Amino acid sequence: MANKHTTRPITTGTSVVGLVYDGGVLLAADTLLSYGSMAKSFNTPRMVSIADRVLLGASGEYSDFQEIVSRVEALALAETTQSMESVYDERTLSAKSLWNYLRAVMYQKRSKMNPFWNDLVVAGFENDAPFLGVIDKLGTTLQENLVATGFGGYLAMPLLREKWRPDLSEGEARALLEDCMKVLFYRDCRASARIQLAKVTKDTCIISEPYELDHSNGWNAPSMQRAVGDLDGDGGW
Amino acid sequence: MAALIGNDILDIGSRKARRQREDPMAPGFAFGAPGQFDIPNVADPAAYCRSNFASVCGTGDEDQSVKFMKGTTTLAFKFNGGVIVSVDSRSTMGAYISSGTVKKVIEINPFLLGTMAGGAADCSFWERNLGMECRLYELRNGRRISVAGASKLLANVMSSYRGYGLSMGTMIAGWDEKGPQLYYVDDDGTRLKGKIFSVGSGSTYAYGVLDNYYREDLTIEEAVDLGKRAIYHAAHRDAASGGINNLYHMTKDGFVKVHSIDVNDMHYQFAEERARAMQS
Repeated sequence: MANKHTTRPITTGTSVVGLVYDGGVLLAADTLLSYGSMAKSFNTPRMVSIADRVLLGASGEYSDFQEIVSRVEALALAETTQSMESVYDERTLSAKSLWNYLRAVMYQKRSKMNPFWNDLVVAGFENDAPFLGVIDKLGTTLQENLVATGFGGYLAMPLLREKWRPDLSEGEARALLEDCMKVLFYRDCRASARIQLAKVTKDTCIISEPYELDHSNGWNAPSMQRAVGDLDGDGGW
Repeated sequence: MAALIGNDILDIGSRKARRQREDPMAPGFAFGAPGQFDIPNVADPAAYCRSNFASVCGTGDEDQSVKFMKGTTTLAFKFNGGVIVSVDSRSTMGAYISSGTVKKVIEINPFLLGTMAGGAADCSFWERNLGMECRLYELRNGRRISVAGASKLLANVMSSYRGYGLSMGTMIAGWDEKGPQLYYVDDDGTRLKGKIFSVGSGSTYAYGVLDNYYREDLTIEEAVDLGKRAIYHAAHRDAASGGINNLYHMTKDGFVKVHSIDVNDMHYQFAEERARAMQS
């Protein structure tokens, strides 16, 4: 019987946006799952914490993402319990090794002409430094201060590049990401206003509950006319 | 001959007449004599449009380079108090929202409304053209054209260009000597008279609401609410529908624009309603 390869996604999530700020990494993604052009589920998280201080977010085929998460969670468990070092030392999976591992997985899958149809974002905090990287469905890896997958690459990236500074405070970072998510909500058919933020710092690694962006001004919202990422919003949650 | 055909749309009529003199057997003249609209300057216009213009729904044709503005929900229904015409306002190119504030109801004249689904350019061009024809009819005959007549004019144009890649799904709603009228006309020349129509990628969702709650003896208030709800539910589930709900009511004195409401604001209103219903 012929092997059935993944040639197109079925149930999809849209963009993941993330940035490095002063003291951590912040990610944002909405919670909409689409089935073609039908909105299938309105409250499904696309960001998970794989290990302590390690976050993984994904756009693209949701079933592939679930498979990746289950593989990677098993890996994280093995790392903390079965590796030689874990016998002597408290050892957890690091963001950078996860990122490298996923590169190998994604590249191997696509080389077999059967890719995981996802663009993945890995965020973490290790050795006193924030880590942020992406892996696309071809196995290409990039480590950056700013990342945006899917439509975010076109719509959020220009805003991020304009407003980003390495010394961004958490509040500014959040305001900037929320502006990006708002623009995506207004311009991307497969995006919704119900989003989650996830942050990883030296001390914490948390994913927020889903919440609704304020879009009460509709197409007249200030951020639709002018991005205000670093000017308002006090941040912190 | 082909070298003479340019893209200048400002001089369609005379250029087409010139072409006709040069080569009466050229393709495009076999169908009636539309005589006023250029078709793509290629051997097979229909195939050209199929391979170059894609729809937003489905994933089969997304590799095509130019995408029509297509995703839409439009609906109209007749009831004892007239006709309700209700539409969304989202315009998409692929998954990109090219505008969230499109006017999809075309006010042909005070007693005729047309809706827009499919190619935005095709709809607005041909419904504007229909407006002109209706005005000419009025001047020639001293009375307003019937809705049946107006929709037939549009359907005839569609038939004469059938297979040339036009994209249009429209509802013509109006009030004439025989009362409220509603017709559906599309790009392959279909013309239907009916009580309820919905057109566009979100139409299936809208039909679900309409079929469930429609009655002939709806009050005007109930009818407006139904038109609004159907668009809301379509915008909620269909990625290619959304933005603002524009709603018109056709009365014996002509159309009335009832409201323009952001569908996202409706979401909270309806959610509150549901919460209240749960409590009681």
